[in-house]
Amino acid sequence: MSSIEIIALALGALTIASALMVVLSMHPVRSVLYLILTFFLISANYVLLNAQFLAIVNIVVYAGAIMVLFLFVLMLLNLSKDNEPRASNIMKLAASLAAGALVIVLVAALKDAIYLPVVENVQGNSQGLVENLGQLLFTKYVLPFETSSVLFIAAMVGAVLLSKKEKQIID
Amino acid sequence: MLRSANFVGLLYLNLMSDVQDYIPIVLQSLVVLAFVVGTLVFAPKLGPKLSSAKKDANWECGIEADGNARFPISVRYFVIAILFVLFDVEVIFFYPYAVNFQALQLEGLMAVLIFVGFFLTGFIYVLKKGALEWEK
Amino acid sequence: MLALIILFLTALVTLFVGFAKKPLLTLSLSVLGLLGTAAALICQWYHPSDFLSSYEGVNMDGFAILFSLVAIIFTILIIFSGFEQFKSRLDHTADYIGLLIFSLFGAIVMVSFQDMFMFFLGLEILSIPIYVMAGARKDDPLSSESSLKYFITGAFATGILLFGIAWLYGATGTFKIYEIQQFFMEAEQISSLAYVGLLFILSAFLFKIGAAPFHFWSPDVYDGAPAPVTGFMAAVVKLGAFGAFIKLFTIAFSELYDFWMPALTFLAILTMFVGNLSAIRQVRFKRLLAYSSIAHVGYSLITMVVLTNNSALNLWYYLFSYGFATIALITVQMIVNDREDRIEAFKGLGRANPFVGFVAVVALLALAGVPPLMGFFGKFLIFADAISQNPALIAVALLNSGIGIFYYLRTVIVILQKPGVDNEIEQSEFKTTPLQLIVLGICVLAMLFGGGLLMVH
Repeated sequence: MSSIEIIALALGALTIASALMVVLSMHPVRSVLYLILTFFLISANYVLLNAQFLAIVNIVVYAGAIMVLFLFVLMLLNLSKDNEPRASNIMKLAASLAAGALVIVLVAALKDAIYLPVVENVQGNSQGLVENLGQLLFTKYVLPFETSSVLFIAAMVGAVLLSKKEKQIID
Repeated sequence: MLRSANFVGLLYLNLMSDVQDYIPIVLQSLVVLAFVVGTLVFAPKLGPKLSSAKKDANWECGIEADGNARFPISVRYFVIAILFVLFDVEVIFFYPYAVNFQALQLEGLMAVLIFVGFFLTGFIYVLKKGALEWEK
Repeated sequence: MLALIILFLTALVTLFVGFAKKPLLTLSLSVLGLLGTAAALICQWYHPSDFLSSYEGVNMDGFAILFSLVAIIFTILIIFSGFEQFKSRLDHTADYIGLLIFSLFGAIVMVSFQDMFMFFLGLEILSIPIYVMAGARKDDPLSSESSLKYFITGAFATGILLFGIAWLYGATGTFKIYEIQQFFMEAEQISSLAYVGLLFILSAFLFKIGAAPFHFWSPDVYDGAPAPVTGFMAAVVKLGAFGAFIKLFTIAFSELYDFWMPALTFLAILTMFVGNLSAIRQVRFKRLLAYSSIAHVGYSLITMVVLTNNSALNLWYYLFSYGFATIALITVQMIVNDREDRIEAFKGLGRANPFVGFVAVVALLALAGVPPLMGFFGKFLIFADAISQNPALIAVALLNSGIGIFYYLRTVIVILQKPGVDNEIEQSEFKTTPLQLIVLGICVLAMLFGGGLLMVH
């Protein structure tokens, strides 16, 4: 095994372990902290895949901004009381069976990954660098780029609508 | 079209850019880490050390801690945070454009101007709606 | 493309006109913009080469134009019928209408996409305004619950969809639907990653259209959301999701038909039974509509199980007829305006307001599929197309239509009954507005004479 493979495998194992901790920790704030760790590890994976821009965006937007939102939501909820309903044993059993079946299917499918088509790598080995990304984003994929701004405006209107108090209600 | 190879190797080996590209980043991370750890380790050792019940309290700032930290906060913070995320994402799109500023010529400029125009419309809407004002 | 641009500008203009706080002005401008969009689409139909009809990622072909036009008609009807409710919140009238138009934008992108980027963006633009709109009545806990449930389950389904798209990309190396089709045609060996991706995408679609066993959100969400939003979800959102569904599965996954057809057959049967059997026990009107909508999703899925050349058109016609009936019933529900939304509150509607009662009866019969109405022709087209290929499935569907007639007729009887003699149930006043009457008129005309459309197609 080459050193890069060892790094990749170790990173993958760490990422999965930290993602598991997000689900398994009992305390929500601790979950969020593990989630931040997971985002950093995913960013490291992106760097290994030569997608540096994505790695930085992932840290800035997800680990930075969206995590703040997560913490806000946690504070909006009143967490001082432990009033979370417990799932019944049958539900737990059903959930583990379903999740287990899903894992088996995914792992079995991944065994087939060696038959993947080779994606032609036009840009040589610097694919994913910011420059190439910009070239594609503003020429070939300019329509999805502009359309995403429609999505953002819709989200803005939605956020304002949800939070504004209504002064005038005519009945 | 089919290639059978070690899966992990296939994914990573030929995509990785040169390792030496990352040396400056690694160096900087080391410096940052060394500074933070160094300050944390040496600062307590260099100064005089006093301890008392008051001083060892979690929040020692002269005011008694009162009530619970987990109280529900206003939804207003939340809206501002959401709007911040949206504009944050907008700014991130400038970076790949700035790198390609010359190569993209007028068409790229138009694309970015339209994009910014849409966001500006959204911003004016948010301002006129008074979503950033602190209403009680 | 031109249509999309006009539509987007309409949404922006609507939002900004709202600051003037003149609801009628907002309404007329937005409807004008929607009509302009429809006009642009019709021009595109006759002159496909002009008007920027295709661009990287989006192609306004005949299929997309037909689905988009119907979505626009439904949106206009819903804005009309819900205008009274929008107007009562003067601060936000324009926001509600604007969000509906944004959502329509998403629906149109979803029926005209050519690659997975646009498909995903369309889905998000379609969904996010609806998450917000479902919670528009902030004083009502049911509405907030509906919004939250829809958002959390919907976001989860979107995650599953993205995951599926990623696996599909891993297996095929492309995002474009025609290239994916090409890949499956030529590949010597299809990696099982593609099948997993397909299953994930399929689950996400089944969630969006509300098919069993991914239907649990829909009764609660339909029930809690404000009535116009319920109508929009049943008519427009379903139209967009089904359009993208049939497009993706008949183009990109056409080669894998043998893989997904058995699953879809089973789910179609399950969906029909779940919808119809649960509908029987409902006492709340919007819940009844939700389960009836699940049952209709089951019938619509038949078009995808038996894939013929007519499938897309049959599906379109079916959703067209279903949409009119649902919008008419939602409008009637708004007129009855019962606080607890009981079906019992419809008692005496036929006598108190004969026209509204008549439209409600026609709409219910159309949903049941009674012959001279549009709903019958929709069902007839689907069943006739499928009967030679899969007679057993059609037998099940006919049995289900029988169950359906039972609860639709029961509601019809409630409407025709005398006003309650017992004073337990307080009578509604059945107040109507001119706009609602226009909507009801259009719907009843469409349901009565919509069969004539068959001559054209």
